[in-house]
Amino acid sequence: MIELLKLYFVQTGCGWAILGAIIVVTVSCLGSAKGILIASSQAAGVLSEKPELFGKMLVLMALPGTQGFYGFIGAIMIALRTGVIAGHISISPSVGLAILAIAICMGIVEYFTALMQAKAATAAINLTGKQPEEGGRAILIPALVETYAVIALLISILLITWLTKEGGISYSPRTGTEIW
Amino acid sequence: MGNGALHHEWCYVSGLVNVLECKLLNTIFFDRLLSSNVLGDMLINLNNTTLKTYFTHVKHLYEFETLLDDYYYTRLYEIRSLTPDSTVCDFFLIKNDILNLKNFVKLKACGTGVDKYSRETIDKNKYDDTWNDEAVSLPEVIKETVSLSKKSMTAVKKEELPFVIDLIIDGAYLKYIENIHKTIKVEIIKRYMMAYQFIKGFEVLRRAMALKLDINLLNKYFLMGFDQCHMLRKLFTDTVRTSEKTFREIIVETHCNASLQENEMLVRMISSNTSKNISFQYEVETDNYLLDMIRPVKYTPFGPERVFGYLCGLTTEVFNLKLVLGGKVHKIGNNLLKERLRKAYV
Repeated sequence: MIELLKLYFVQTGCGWAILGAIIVVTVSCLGSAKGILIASSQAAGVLSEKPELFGKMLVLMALPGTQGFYGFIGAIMIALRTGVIAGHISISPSVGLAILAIAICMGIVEYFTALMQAKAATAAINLTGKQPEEGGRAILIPALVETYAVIALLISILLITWLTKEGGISYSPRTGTEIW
Repeated sequence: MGNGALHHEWCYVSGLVNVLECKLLNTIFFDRLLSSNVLGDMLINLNNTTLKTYFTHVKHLYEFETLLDDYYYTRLYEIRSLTPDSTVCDFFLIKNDILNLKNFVKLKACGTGVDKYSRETIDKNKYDDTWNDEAVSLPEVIKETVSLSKKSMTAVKKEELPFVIDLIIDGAYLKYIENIHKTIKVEIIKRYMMAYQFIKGFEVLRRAMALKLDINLLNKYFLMGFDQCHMLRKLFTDTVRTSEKTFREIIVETHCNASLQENEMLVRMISSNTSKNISFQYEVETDNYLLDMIRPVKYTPFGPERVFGYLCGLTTEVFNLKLVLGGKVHKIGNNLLKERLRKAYV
C-alpha cells in the first residue's frame, strides 16, 4: 500500500491529478444538482398555476446543470492529459499538485456559479411566470452567469494543457519513463 | 424559516406565490368597483377576477363575508401546507385564535362573549381544558393568559372585567408577536413584526386612554408581560406628555435597523395621531405604512419574505373587498368608503 502511494504521490504526480479530477467533478456536480433543485422547485410552483409554460421553464430549469458537465469535461481533460487513460503517466509530483490546485479552483467556481445561476434562473422564472411573452429575454439573465463558468473551464483547460505538454513543465527526465 | 428550514426550500411556494401575485386586485379595480352603482355591475367586475367562482349570482354579494372568508382561508391554508415552516402563515391565523380566545374567556368569565368561533390554528376544546387546569399542548403565553384571566375575575370589578380581559389577551398577543420575531431570521419580517407590535401596542394604549381606563389596570394587565425596558412601557410612561422627540427617541432605539426615512414616517404618523380621539385614520395610515414596508419583497426571487409579502397583500385585498362590498350592500357613501380603503399590494 505504501509503495503504491509512493508511486502515485511521490515518484509521479498521478495521484494528485486523479484527486483533482475527482474533486472537480464531485464539487461541480453537487453545485449543479443543488442549482437544479432550486430552479426546478421554483418552476414547479409556477407550473402548478400555469402548466402551459413548461416549454419555457425547461431551459431555465436546466441551465444550472451545465456546470456539472464542465466539471466532467475538466476531469476528462485531466485524465487524458496526464496519461491516466492511456496508461502512460508522464507528470511529476509538482505538476500533479498544480493540477490539483487548478481542479479545486475550478470546482469552487463551478459550484458557486451553479448556485448563483440558479438564483438568477428563479428570478427569470418569476419574470416568465408573470409575463410569458418575455420568456426569451428572461433566459439571458441566468445565461450571463454562465460566462464565468465557461471562463473557469477554458482557463483550466489551457493551464492543464500548458502544464502537461511535451517538453513543457511536466517533462522530467527522472519520471518521464513509462511506468506501467 | 427560523427553525432550520433552508432558504431554498421556499422555492416551490415562492414560485406559486409569484403567479398568484398577478391575480391580486389593484387600486384601479377597487376604484372601478367603487364607481359601480348597481350590484349587477359589481358582479360583472368580480367575474373578471379569480373571485368569479365565489360570486356567480347577485344574491352572493349579500353573503360576501362568508364567501370572502372562504376564499381567504382556502388560499392561506393551501400556502401553509406548502411552506417548509408554517410560522409565516400562523402570524395571519393567530389573529383569529386571539379573537376566539377573547370570546371564550368573556363567555366563561362574564357570560357576555359571543359563542361564535372563526377558523383557527388552536382547537377551542383546548381552551376548555386549560380553563379546567388540565394539561394541554398550548403556547405558554396562552396558558398564562387563561390563568391570569381566571385570577382577574376575583380581583377586578365586574363592569371592568371585559376591558381587563381585552387588555390581558392583547398583551399576550403582542408578547406572542415578540416571540415569533425572535424565531425569525429574515430581517425585513423582523422589522415588520417590531413595527406591527409597536403600532398595535400604541393602539391599545390609545383605546385605554380614550375609555379613561384606570392606569393601574393597564400597567398590571397589559404591560406586565413586557420587560422594564420594553418600548411599549417607555411609550406608556411617555404617552401623557407625548412629544415628537420622545417618539423619535423610542423608535430610533427600538428600530435601530430600520432606515432613517422609515423611522421618520413612523414618528410622523404616530405623533399626528396622539392628540386625536380614536379614528379610522390611524388604522388606515398604519396599515398602509406596514404594507409599504413589506412591499420591496416583491422583488425577492424566493424565500419566506416573498410568501409573507403575498399574504400581507392578500389580507389587505380581502379587507378592501369586504369594505367595498359591505359598504355597497349597505348603501354607504363612496367618499366614506374611499377614505377607509387601504393601498393595494400590487
